Amino acid sequence: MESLQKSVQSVINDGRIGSPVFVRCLLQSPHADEDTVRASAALVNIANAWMPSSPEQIYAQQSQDGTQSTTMIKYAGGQTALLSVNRVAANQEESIDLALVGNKGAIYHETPRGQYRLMRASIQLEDEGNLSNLIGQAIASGEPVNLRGEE
Amino acid sequence: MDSQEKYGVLIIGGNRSHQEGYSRNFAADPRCRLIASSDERDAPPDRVELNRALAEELDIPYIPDLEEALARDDVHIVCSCVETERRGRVGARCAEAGKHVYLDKPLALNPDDAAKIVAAVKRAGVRTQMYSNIHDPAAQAARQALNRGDIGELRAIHCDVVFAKGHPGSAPVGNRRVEKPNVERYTFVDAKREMFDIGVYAVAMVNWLTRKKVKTVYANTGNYFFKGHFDRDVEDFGAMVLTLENGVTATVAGGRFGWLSHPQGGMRGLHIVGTRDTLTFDPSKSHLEVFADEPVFQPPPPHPLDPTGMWGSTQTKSTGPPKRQWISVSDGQGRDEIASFVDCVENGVESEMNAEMAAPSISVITAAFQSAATGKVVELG
Repeated sequence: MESLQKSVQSVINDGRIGSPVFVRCLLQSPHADEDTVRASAALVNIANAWMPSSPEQIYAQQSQDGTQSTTMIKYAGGQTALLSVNRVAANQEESIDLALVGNKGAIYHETPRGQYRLMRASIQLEDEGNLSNLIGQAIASGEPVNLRGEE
Repeated sequence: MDSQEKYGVLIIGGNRSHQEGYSRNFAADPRCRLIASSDERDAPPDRVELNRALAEELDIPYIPDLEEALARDDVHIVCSCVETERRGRVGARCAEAGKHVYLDKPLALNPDDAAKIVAAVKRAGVRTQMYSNIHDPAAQAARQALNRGDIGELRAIHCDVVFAKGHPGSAPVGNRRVEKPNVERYTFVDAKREMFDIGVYAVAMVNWLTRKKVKTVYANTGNYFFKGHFDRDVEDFGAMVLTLENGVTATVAGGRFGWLSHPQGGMRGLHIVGTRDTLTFDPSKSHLEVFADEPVFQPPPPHPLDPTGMWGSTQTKSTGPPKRQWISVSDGQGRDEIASFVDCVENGVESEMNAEMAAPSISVITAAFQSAATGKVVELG
């Protein structure tokens, strides 16, 4: 993921897609013990780094069995992120499907399949700060959580 | 009519509406014959002019009074493409006249207008169909996968429909859109409500695939791309998170983001997430990539009457080659949308996207506007 994050960031920095306005990301994780909320928090961190303004409101849902969680972030500048983590069978590969839309263009990425790929899809689950708790709070309440003052 | 032509078709609407395409698809169906074009007697004059222009192209008469046209015995099907603000009244009137009605999307401006159509259709016992993507091979494949239980129990569904049309980058950057809770006006020459107009494909798809009622809606809308939309105070993009009655999560993104933001027609992702597997049905992902020493696609210059490239009649014809670096590859073959409706009329069966199935999508998108306006989750009854 680190190489993907850096590659995307470099395209943003070059101004090729203009200012990011929407990110759609689906992460498939084959780890049976994957905490989809923690993984969602990691995705939120990544989306926050790409967006040009700070997150303002977070809304999340998780299936009762924890198979999937979905998070929507509204940003102070009006941007939106839709981020989903799905736990898949252990024999499948971890993969990510990403669309980052800017006001003048878009970036698309899908994890290549097979043993010869040059990047690891594994998402880093460290350093999410308070995000896991906030996502958990949104799931439990069924209401959006305001993030003003959070970072 | 010759022996094959069983159904006379009346069209309502003309150039700079989807009637440009629908009418020609009806004309191409050997079971159908275009009878005439018509509209309400007090339809806006510029609209009447556009109606007459298409009628002339199709070589059919224009009847200025819709009531007179609906009274004709040789009209069996009405294809209605009036402005969204008039869809409830006109759709209901056509059904009341005993005609089968093919309805442009979105079905109506608001849930009340949609309910008028549904009630009139029930009383008249006619067939209806709203234009949608459910006959596309990707949609049919997703439906079959769900029916077979390929993914186990459905947990989530994610559907995006974002059109790659228009010249982006003209809206002010970083302005949060202040949404209005109610859709008051929909139709402008240079813009329209894109979460409504394009998002309806995705919402209708979710409804059709799951057959479950939407219980809650959380949404955001934006003015991300186009000055025309910003100036008219209508969104060019929207995203929503839905909770279905069985606890399934659904997400939808709908809008319009510019000619060069996608190698084909735009984002068309459909993901179904289950307890056993996750499947993606995206016609864009199954493609050939062709790179050659040949001219590449260039966006057409913005037309003053159609700057976001909505209509074929206003797009400049001499703009060079179309997009052709990605060529779709698909084993599936969908039934033509119009032909599928004529099938329903012919066989006396309900369309899978009839007015009753289409109406909830209007309630969902209306709730999405309310959610975007308030920042709250909106519950649907």
